[in-house]
Amino acid sequence: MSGVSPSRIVLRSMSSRLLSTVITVLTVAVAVSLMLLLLGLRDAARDSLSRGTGNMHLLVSRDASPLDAVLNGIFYASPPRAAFPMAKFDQLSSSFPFEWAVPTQLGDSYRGLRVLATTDAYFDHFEPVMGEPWVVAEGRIFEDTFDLVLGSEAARLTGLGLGDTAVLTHGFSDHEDHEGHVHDEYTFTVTGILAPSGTLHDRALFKTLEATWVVHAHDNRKLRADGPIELTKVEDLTDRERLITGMYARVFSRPGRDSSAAIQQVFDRLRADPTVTVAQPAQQLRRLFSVVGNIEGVLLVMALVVLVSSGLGIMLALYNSMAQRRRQIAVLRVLGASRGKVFELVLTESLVIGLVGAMLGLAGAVVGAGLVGGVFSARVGLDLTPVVLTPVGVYVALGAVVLSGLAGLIPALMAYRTSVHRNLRPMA
Amino acid sequence: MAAEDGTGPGGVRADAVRVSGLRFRYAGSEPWVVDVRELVVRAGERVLVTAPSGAGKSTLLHLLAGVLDPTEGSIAIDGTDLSSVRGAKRDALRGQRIGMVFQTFHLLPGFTAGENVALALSFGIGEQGTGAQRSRVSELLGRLGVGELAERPVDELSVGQQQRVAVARALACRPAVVLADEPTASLDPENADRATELMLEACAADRAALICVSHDPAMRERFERAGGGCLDDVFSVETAGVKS
Repeated sequence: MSGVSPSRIVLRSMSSRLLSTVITVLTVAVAVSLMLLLLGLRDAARDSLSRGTGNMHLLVSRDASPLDAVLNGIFYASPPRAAFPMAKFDQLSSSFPFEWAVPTQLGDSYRGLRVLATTDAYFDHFEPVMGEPWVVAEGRIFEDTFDLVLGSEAARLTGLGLGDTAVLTHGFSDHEDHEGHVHDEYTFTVTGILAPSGTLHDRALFKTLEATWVVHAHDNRKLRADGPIELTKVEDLTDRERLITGMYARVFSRPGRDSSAAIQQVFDRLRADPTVTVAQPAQQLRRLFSVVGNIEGVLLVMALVVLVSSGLGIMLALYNSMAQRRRQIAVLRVLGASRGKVFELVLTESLVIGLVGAMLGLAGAVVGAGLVGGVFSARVGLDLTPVVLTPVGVYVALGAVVLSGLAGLIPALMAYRTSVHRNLRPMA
Repeated sequence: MAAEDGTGPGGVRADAVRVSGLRFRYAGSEPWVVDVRELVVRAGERVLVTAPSGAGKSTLLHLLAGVLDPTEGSIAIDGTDLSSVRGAKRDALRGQRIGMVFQTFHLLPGFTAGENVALALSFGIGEQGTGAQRSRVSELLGRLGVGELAERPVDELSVGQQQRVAVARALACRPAVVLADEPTASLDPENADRATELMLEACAADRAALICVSHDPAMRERFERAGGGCLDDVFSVETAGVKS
């Protein structure tokens, strides 16, 4: 026979009302999980979206709106709506004070992954994360027209390695079994694999502009011709077939000087051109965050409401149990327990519920984060795996414990004030 | 053992209970519920207080246990004036020096018989899980004939067995006095006889004073047969001393 410690009394009391205890613990756990996931998801979304614009100042495309331009051009959401001639790019890039400008074309995919057509300049000038230029992990950047360079994630997901060949699909088909038009006349060879940048660009494959022009020109010519035609070559391309969908650009700025005025000036002038849409990605992201921020706010308030109601649940569960426990408490007092001691016992019970709930909530959030991250990366292609074990996450968990303690105060006070005399009178 | 039995300074044992001029009434109510001019119960003495239902017997016990404060007069338990200790100190004094047995026993459900007794030790003396505590628990339960039930949840015990566990719990901390409130009222006459006998024996073995209240005339017979003194209506005698 072992002794009976106060913690034993608390545990026994909790287990004697097992269902109520389990339910209150679960509500705390759900509230904490929800809160942590929402907070984590918000941070992951911000982090993931903030990376990827890198050192680009302006994005030019022919999308319907600047936000579309950013979503399609940088986050590969859907194929840009319209293209514009390479000649337009040449005109723009030479008439503005750009430090660099890179032409891009989107529209093809490989097993659901986006293929970006561009030039060497993309790798030489564009930094996916500010201050962190592209690093070639294996092989090299384009040397031939049908060279293919893979982002690190793309390489991992496709299993393609240096020297492997691939044919691309027209359009962004998200499923491998989806029947898209396959450009099977032209085979690409993997010549390079990039080091991870931690951005969505890692999930892309890169090809030369010439290759994409040739493939699409050939498709068009085939449609118009009556019989079989010869393979189209780079030399056959006309200016009307040299189309791109976007331009990444950085405005020239002197090192150490604020370039925002210069960017704004170029932006305003470009906006005056009715044939293109121009976006400042950083600005668009701020707008996006402020819209998303409202939704986040609502969700966070909802999570907070769940947390508070779980606190009320604890209070109610303990409060209801007090009716049956008055006699027990009176007996403990007869056995020598002070008022403070019985107060402590009830408060401990609510704190234990809070602590177990918070710990389960943390564990649930970690599991949930993995699931949410998996769903997002499969559906959206964004790595939005929430990081839940942050200082804020720990504060949320501690907050839940404190809240539980507060919820236990009233029942504990009831225990404190329980009259021994009144509760031990012989039953009438 | 002697010191634990409440031996006062110089080895002179203080009276287990000394009551003088004790009066109690509820706030705002006219008649006195309890009115005892003087009552002295020495260590090892046992006294049955009989009085009709509603005469204030339970209230008297609650006053003696210090869970209720007298309107007038004083109560000393084992030499300590109850009015001189308050709050947690009084709770501690009650846990250590006073044992209580109730008509419905008030054992803590969900705990075993042994744990119920050990709980009294934990709160009264603060011992937890020590060998001394374990041996005290099994000694007491054994002495009351329920030693083999120590590991059984009290909810599974018969009423008679529960009563014995309740007596064991009251004696756990070697109290100066055991206060019993209709301790056998839930038992059938045969079991009540045996229970009274066991309670008196157990208290005698620990040299604990026993104050038992009852309204049952049969209780008086049992008590006398078992060697206890009786006070018919303590509220009407001027000075009550009890011979053991």
